[in-house]
Amino acid sequence: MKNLDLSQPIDRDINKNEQVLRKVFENTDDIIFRKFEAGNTKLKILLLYVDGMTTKEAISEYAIENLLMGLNLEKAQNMSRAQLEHEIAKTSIAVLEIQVLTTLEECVDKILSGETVLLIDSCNKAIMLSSRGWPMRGVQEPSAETLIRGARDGFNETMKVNISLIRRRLRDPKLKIKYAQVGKRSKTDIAILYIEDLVNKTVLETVEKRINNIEIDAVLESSYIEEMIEDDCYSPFPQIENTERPDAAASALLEGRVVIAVDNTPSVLIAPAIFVSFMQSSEDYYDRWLPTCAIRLLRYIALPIVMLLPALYVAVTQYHPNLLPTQLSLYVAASRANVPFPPYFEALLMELVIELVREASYRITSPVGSTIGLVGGLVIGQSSVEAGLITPLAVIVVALTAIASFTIPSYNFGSSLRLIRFAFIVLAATFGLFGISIGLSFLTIHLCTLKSCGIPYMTPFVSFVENKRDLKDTIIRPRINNLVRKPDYLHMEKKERKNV
Amino acid sequence: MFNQDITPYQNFSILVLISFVLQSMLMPVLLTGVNGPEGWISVLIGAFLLFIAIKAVNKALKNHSEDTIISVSDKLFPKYISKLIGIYYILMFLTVNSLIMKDFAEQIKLMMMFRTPLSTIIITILLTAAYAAKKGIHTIAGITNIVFLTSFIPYLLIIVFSTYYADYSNIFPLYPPDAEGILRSVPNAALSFFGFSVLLFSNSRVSVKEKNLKTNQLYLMTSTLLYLASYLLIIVKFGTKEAANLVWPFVSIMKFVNIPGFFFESTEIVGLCLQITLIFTSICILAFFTNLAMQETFKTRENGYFIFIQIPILYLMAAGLPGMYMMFPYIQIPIYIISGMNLLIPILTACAAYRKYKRSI
Repeated sequence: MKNLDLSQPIDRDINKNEQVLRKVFENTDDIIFRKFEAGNTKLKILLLYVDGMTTKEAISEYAIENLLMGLNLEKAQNMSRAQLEHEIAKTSIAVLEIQVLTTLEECVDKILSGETVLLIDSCNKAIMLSSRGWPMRGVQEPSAETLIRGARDGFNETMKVNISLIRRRLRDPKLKIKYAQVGKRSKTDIAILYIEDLVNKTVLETVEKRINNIEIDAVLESSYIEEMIEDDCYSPFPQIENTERPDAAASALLEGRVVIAVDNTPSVLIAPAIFVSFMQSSEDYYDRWLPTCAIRLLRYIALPIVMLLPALYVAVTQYHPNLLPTQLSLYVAASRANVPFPPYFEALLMELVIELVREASYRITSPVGSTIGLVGGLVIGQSSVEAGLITPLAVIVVALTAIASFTIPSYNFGSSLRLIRFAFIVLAATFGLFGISIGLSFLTIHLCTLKSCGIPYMTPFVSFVENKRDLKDTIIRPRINNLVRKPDYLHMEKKERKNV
Repeated sequence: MFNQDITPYQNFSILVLISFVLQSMLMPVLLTGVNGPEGWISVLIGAFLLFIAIKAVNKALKNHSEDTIISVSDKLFPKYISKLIGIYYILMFLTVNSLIMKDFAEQIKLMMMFRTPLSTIIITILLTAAYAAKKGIHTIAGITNIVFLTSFIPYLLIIVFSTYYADYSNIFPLYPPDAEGILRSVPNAALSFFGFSVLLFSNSRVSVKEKNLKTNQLYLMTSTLLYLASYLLIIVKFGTKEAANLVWPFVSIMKFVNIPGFFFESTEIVGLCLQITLIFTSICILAFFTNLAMQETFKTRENGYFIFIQIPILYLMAAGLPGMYMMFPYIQIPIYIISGMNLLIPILTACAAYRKYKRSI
């Protein structure tokens, strides 16, 4: 491929073009070369497409027939690009998207994208007929973000379907979409969506610049993009949000954030993402506000449990038993009497078991997965206590931690917290409560350093007086009527939600 | 990309927090300095002096709002004087930071980590603080705000619950006052408002500089109220005589916290955990401003790497210094000197700036 210069204009000799293209697609049996003659002068025409990626019916039955009948092929040979486009537009061609191509490189790109390319002899231009069509998954409920109340549709692997799902929710001409392509080999389509008068221009420029700077051979999932555009790739915390829900993406757009849709990926990316956004779920705005406040509060209570409970168990039993009420302290001491392992080993062992069970249940089909969870939870926990390997309190602590971890709405964020939990257990085993305090201080420093597309990750907590309005929609969820302004942290021009 | 300066309120929280930590550390000096429950008068006199100083410094240095005290003195005084001022602030910050660290490490050792060597505790604190100091003022301001919300307010609330069984008659008699003791304790009270020395640096990093005077005054008022409340709380709780013997009055107060329904046996450890984050944040703040003072004195472009110079110095000073309780008998003279210098340097600089301004018009 390197020896062939595809950037040159298309040759007037169709045979030469065919030769080059056959060389390019050597040993590529799914590329269909269909050559035929048309018109009074028996003009040679070459039709190229990828078998399985095109809707053949649309092309053969309607488009080509109409094109060949309506277009004066002899005249087309000497037409300019604009003239040819004009002439094609005049025909009654039944294909919506048509483009005139001037180089073989363009032809190759379009063919591989699922379009059909038509080369005409003695004409140094090719015609692209939109014919993308492949078997795709329907619009289904996203399994990772199920809700009790709310829309059931979710994104699928086709970017254009995903964009249309967002468009259905935002019929605003200010919703802009910019296309880009990333991946030297995969040439993955990417769409950057934003609402023109809401988006923070600096954030948008940052996202665009970072996407344009990506140099990689292939993008197979949106996580590739996520990793390459985030501010700190060494941080355990996600700095870009992802969702499979069109309503969540639409809501992010309305907040002035940027949505990045990646082809072949059933989830879109949302930037910037702050700490608070990972603690919120779409459902928060669909249920009544008062119960939602309680649920949000519950999540914030679960957050320290997920991170710290096993570490606190280790610190208190190992270093500070005097902290506990006397009766509990005596019970812990009695239950620990027959356990051969120190508390930190107990905690690490049980956490490891829980992670093994969790990982195993993800890898196998769902009915068996839940059985594995039950077996892991009941049998291993019960047997370990009976065998005297761990104390019942350790089982309670680990089980409570595992349950609390499911209340964190974002899977990515939850995984980060689970990872940090192990660091806290080690710190607690080394320095007790002092270690936990130092760990928390270190974590706070790290979170305060972190940014997402230039926006401080801990907004609005890091400047809670200046951003006091943003605090309103963090730990509690106010009434929709009270959410009269959009978030301050994005420095939007239009902040009012009413009278837009 | 976005404004990297701190907001006025972030400045306010930095100043209040650092002052609170110094006030709690120097509280025993105030309690022993005045023979009677009138220490609060020293606090008020100290606050009044600083109120005037803050107003004078903010007004006179209005044209130098982008400068720290060191860079202003560089423009107003001969080079060697500005260098001396810079070196004074570096040494002063280092000394205060090492004292806080030592005091803090001793509290942790005594209350939590009986078998861990003091040096291990110090080095752990230092390394974590170094991470914060290297990240810049935005991070420092961020953690201060978060600590303010998550630790400072709960810590104050816990202290409030210690007023159970307090003897409010301990704040009497007010007459006859120990006038000599009150006056002798004024420098100590003034030094406890350590935010005054920090604002000479932090004000230059605030995004809305017009609000500096208001923020500084608000800080002084808040800090004075906290100082007065803490002092009176200790007095009503322990009485003058017993309070004079306390090494860590706040830790002692925690032992008497009585929160209805609170099931932990030793509340002082819970309080100490919150205190750890407060003191730790103040160590980060001081380490950052030492870096900044070094940057201004030695005229370098970047200040983050100065922390690597600070780490061994702070470690040696903290490890080498005796504990605060051992220093109480000898600390009065250094407090007079540092307190005097901290007040004198900004006022002289402000006078020089004012004279220059007058001449220019």
